[in-house]
Amino acid sequence: MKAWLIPAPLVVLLVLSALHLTLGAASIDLGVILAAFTAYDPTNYAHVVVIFQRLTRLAVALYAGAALGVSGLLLQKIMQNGLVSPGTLGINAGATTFVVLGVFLLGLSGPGLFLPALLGGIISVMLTLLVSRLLTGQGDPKLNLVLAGSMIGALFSALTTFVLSMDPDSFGNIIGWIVGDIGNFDYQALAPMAPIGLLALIAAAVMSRAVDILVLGDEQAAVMGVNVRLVYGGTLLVAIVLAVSAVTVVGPIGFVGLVMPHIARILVGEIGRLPLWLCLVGGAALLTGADILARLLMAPRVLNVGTVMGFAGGLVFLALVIFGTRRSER
Amino acid sequence: MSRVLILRLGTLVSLPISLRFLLVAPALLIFLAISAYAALNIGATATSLQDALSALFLPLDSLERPARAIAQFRMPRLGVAILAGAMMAASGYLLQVVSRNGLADPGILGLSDGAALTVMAAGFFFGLMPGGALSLLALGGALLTALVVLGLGRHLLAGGGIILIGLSINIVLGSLIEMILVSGSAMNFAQLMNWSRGTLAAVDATDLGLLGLWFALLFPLALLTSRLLQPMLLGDEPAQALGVRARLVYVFYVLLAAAFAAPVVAVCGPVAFVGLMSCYIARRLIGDRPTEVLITGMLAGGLILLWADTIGRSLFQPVIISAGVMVSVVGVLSFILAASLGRLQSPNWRD
Repeated sequence: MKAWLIPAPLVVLLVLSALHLTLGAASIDLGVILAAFTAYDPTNYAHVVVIFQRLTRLAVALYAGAALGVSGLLLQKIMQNGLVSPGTLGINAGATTFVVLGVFLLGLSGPGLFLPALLGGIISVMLTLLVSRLLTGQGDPKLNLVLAGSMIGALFSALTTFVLSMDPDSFGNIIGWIVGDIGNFDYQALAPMAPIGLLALIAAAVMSRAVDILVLGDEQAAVMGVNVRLVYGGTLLVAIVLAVSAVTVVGPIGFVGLVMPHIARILVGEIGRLPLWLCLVGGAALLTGADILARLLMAPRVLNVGTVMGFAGGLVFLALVIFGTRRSER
Repeated sequence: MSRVLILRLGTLVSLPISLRFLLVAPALLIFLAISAYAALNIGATATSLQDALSALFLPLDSLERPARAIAQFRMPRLGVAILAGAMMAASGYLLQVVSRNGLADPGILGLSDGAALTVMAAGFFFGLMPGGALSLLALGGALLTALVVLGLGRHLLAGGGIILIGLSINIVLGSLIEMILVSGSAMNFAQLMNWSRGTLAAVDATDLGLLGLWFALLFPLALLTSRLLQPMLLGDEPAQALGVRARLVYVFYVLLAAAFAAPVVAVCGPVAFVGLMSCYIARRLIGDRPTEVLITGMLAGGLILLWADTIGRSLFQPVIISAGVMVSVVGVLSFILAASLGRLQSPNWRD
């Protein structure tokens, strides 16, 4: 057990969070930030910026990053496939479509969108698994699963555009959400989502041991007294709930769930609860870092976090596809 | 194998033509003509045959109002739909041959996004440009992307490998496009999102002229060189054994595929899946003779995009759904169908 790995990511996260609060269109001193926390002065503009613009943004990034990181780890573990993540399985796209439908048909908003998003996530995973089963027998099954996910993702994103084009004017507020932007008011949806996410995290920690045994293979696990279907289905559900809760808050952000488990695997392997912890804290740190970049790269304009993650993550995904398959060929 | 007729002219020309192709291609052509007439008719106002014919053959200035409207708005849109569909199909087929993967398509392999990125970057840095310059820029972007994707995917041709490489390049290019979108505030995001899936709403006669020019240039070239496609299907080494300079031909076909896709992207945005669908249909209909598949696929591509656009603009009136969205939905479904039936891996499409 590498004990230093328990506090180390926390330190990284703290440093990044401090940077996140300091940097921006105007950089604010650490002293002023501390003062904003301890002695908040509503007439001081810097204090208002720190609390109502940067802190809310930071909280959203932390939550979404952590949830997506853990979700990705769970998915990669139970499917034993390093290319799987909420984005590449189509969960994000499916949730987005159903959220847009919920806004359009039912006039829902904020946390009320969680249920349609969850439905969308579950449907898209089921479709992806179904399609990948249709593809069996041709080429690498691991690639086929991701290929199926991409196609389902493409289908749902076309449907999203379709719904949007039905009435472009009424979706003015939601465009930023669809491209995975952290908006100034996203934290309002965070409060009701956080308990759901916390419950899912606890469930993930509790099931961690059974999942480890599941990795040995279905038969082995069954022999060792694990209810394979229950654990597989339960873990899948937990992963979907985590991803969807993040999507409900900030919109579809890809690749946190893809990249983080790989980093954790390099550091500590994937057995036990330590990788879970690493993905939790590391995911939060990753998205916080991406948000810092999003605000700095083209300052004073603010990029979308989703865009920054898409750019970096797309390259990592490319590398994984190329090197992952090369290794398996040998 | 179906029956083959051999067309001989003197001692120089000897063209083998399969009987199936002789039946299928004219049938598709007739269906295309009927569809075109129907598409002219569907819309806010009905048209008479006489108006349509006079719009087609008489000069614009001499026309009365209904015929004039047809000549100015519906005709170009119709023509662009057919040409764009056909060109995307040709590009898709060439890519399928060089990548030896029946799931290849300019949209899926990232060529379209590469072209779109250069078009948007040019718009961002240099302002508005004429269509001709745009399509040359788009060609550069598409070609570069194609070479990168095919270069990276050389060892992963079979199955999903090269497709996933294309998709991840797509994601990277897509986020670059988004960065440009964020920086250029004047443009309406929702509108661009529509364009980024391919739309025919804004095309005019100039666009049609541009596409027609490229088509007239590329189509004969593709036909004349299409006999080299057959050896390429067998793989590099067998092709070389047959006396084909495989490397050179490979690069030539990638260039040709990019050239087919680029002007389409410049005019109506990246339309994905047309190439995939139409070539799949073509192969199901007539088998695997490259020249015939190419022509049949192009006819099918024109039909698909024409119907996607017509249905999109008339199904949910007054809401107009862009052709690209329609094609994407149908395209994904047919991708799944095609992949699951496993027909794509016919003997010639092996690794």
